[in-house]
Amino acid sequence: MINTIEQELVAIRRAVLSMGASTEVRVNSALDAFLNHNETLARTVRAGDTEIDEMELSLESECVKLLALQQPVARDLRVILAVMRINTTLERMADLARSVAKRTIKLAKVPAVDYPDDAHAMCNAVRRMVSDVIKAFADNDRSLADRVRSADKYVDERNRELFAWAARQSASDSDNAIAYIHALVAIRAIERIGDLAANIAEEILFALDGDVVRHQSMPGESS
Amino acid sequence: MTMTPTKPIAVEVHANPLAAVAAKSSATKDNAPTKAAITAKDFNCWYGDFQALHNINLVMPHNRVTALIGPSGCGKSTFIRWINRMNDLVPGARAEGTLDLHGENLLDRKRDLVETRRTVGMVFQKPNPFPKSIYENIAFGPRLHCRVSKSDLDDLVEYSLTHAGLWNEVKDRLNNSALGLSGGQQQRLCIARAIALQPEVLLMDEPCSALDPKSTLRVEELIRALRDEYTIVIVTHNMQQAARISDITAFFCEGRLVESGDTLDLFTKPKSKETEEYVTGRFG
Repeated sequence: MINTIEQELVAIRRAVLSMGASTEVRVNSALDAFLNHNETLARTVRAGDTEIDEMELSLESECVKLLALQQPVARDLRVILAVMRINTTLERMADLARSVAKRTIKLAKVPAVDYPDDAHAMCNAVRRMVSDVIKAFADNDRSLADRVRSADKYVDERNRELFAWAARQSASDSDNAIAYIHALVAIRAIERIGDLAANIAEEILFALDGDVVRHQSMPGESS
Repeated sequence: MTMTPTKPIAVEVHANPLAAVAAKSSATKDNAPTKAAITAKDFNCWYGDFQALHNINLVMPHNRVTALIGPSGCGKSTFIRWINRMNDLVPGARAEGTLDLHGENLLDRKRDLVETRRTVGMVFQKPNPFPKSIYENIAFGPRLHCRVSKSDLDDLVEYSLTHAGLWNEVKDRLNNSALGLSGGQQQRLCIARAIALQPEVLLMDEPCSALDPKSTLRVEELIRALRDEYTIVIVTHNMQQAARISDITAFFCEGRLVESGDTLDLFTKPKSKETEEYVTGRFG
């Protein structure tokens, strides 16, 4: 029996959700490991990247097949283009979770750093963004996608605060400067995960309405 | 279509068939917007009591390819047949509203239909060469329409076949029967035949539906090349073909124009849900 494009699109949407769920688990584990100085958990995150890589290759191949055989147009085309970009973005998110885990392992070898509230707030915001953006994709929810885009500003602000904190701490506690550098690298990776969640939200809006909002500020936000 | 020989028509072709064409082709076009060639305004038509088209408002730009798409029976072919008045021959066919070519009313009953059909050439779904030689297929129309010398006629035949991308394939057998050509070659011959009359507009009613993929590609390339010199209106059921070759696409459904606009927009971001469902193959 010939699969219709509708069936194929349902299948690739399921694959995105499955990959999104796996990525979310890895991001959450990496953030837990980072905040709680949990080296064992960090080692698990660092080890298991293969599953996401395989999902990415498989989903890309399905999208290429759909483009070649079904010659989609209009919303079908937009969904496939968005899925191809979301696919790559999720894989990058998983890579960044791995980077956070690697820094956590390095941090375990130096005296533990006491993270400020901004670090916890930032990690919570990023967790929420990742979870919401996957939900927005599943439900075709424009307003939730918009909220994810808006949340990125909050994460950026926490990132700036944490940069200032790391600079101050490195100066005042210079014996532990290496620990603050590792922490700052992890924080930058976490901030990038937030950026990527916002990018996925933009792809969702493109798939739904055809509006390209990449590189555009949210209403009321200076660019 | 009946084209009775009438008085020679005073067009530039009398003096030098190629000069007029060369003048036309000198301005090569890009994607910039152009003026309207054909304009339909509040256009309605009927076959007896049946209203086939309702309030069509559509501008087909000069030297652009406009594709008409839509499910079978939606009125696409009816619409283009009004542009060269072929529906005049259908009993009970009548039209209201405006249908203009460069501001001239195509529906004017006093209009010279022979001249209209010279100005507005038509290529059909099934190639329909005359049962004559390749040369005669091209020469027949110009000879009928106007006085033209043998050498000018030879030049016009070469020009038309060259522009239709057929010259190199047939130049050594111009006196052979056109019926011996392949389907794709016959269709390009029909396009050459239309070109020989130096039309302003070429109407094409599913010109590739009877052709294999290679011949289809040749005809599509030809349509894109001819766009620089002619206004082309094409009816097609092939979405990819409309997307590939047209600048403007108009979607008809049940005798109404649902949406028209830039082809890229219509195939990536249609405004109407009905268009979206049609182009994605979920309806029609």
